[in-house]
Amino acid sequence: MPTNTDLVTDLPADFAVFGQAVDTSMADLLGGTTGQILAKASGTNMDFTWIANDQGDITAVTTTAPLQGGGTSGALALTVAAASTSASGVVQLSNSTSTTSSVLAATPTAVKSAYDLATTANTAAGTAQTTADAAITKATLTTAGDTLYRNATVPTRLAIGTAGQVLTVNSGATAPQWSTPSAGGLTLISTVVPSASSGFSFSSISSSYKHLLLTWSGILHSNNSTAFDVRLNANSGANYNSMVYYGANTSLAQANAGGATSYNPTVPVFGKNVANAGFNNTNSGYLWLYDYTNTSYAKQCSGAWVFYDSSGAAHTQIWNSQMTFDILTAISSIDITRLSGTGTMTITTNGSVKLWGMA
Amino acid sequence: MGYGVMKTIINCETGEVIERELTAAEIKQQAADEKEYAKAQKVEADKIAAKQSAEAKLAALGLTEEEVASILG
Repeated sequence: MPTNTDLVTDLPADFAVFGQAVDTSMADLLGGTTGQILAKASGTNMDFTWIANDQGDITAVTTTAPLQGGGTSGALALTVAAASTSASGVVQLSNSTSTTSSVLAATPTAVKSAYDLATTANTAAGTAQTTADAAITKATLTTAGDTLYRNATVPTRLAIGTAGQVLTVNSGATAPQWSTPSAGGLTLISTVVPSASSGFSFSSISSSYKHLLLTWSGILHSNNSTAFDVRLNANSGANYNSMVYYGANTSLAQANAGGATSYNPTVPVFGKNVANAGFNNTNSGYLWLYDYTNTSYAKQCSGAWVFYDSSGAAHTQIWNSQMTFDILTAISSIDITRLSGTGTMTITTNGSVKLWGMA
Repeated sequence: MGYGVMKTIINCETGEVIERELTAAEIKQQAADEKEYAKAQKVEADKIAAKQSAEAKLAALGLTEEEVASILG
């Protein structure tokens, strides 16, 4: 084969050589069948081979939700739809433990926060359960006035008793029980220890007793110009009629009060001028109020008291009295009220004012 | 408006103890009680004075203490 500087002397022969060289070089392009494609057979130049057009296995991309896009030719775009509570899809992560979103997904960070809180809550719930297990069931008590006590093992209900009953211990000394007090018994309703008192009142006295008994001891006034007396139901009308016999030193006297506005303003029950404790003669005594709930008759009362009158010719006075209270209403309160002066009432050692109910 | 004087109320049903100032009505009643008390004390003092006067007059008539006591008690 001549080069571009050679003199062409035999053109046909040169073409023949050229043609053969081309044939030889392009021999791999020969052959093949419809649809085949040319592929390199090796790394050598012009080393080709015809192969079937079946290289790769994707001829189309078909999508279903949440995948979107696809096709059979060209550059195919694929996307994933956002997830929702009604469709699957791609979701955004979130560290929030407080969001109310229904499309975000929790990260491990958020899950851990929730887990930690759940662990804490679980511990607290366990403690609460332990406490609850040890607690007294609310349903143990079923009726107003029920009380609770422990039997040999667990808290137990003691049903409310009936009116006037008192709490006692059963014969086996194993449990409390309600018992009807035996006739003639005394029940302490209330105790007062006056201290610089200007007066006091026992109110809302139960009507469940037959009689009332008021006892007192150690009453001392802060001066010798003050007097305290008794009223019933805070009644200051002219309804008190009393007859009092009293001894002052060696004399015997009588002080009657008809239509008085308190027990006896001449000789007040809780004393007058009782300001000398030097002889241990502070005011002490009792009043017995009969059938105080009766609404058919005037109330009757008797009593006695003793005190040291430190005014004027000081002497010990001893009183015995009977009194009627011209009111039909049941007695529900007893007032110890100051009739005169500005002094106050105090109790000396071991003294008190007590109201008793008599069965 | 308080009146400075306290009163203790003991509720025997509940055990509750309330200390409160006297009401206006109670202050008014206290003033009336003061007068009633003074009146009663005067009646009693007059009675005692009359008895002592009678005792003195009877003694002046020559009666012994026992005789006077038997009359006046």
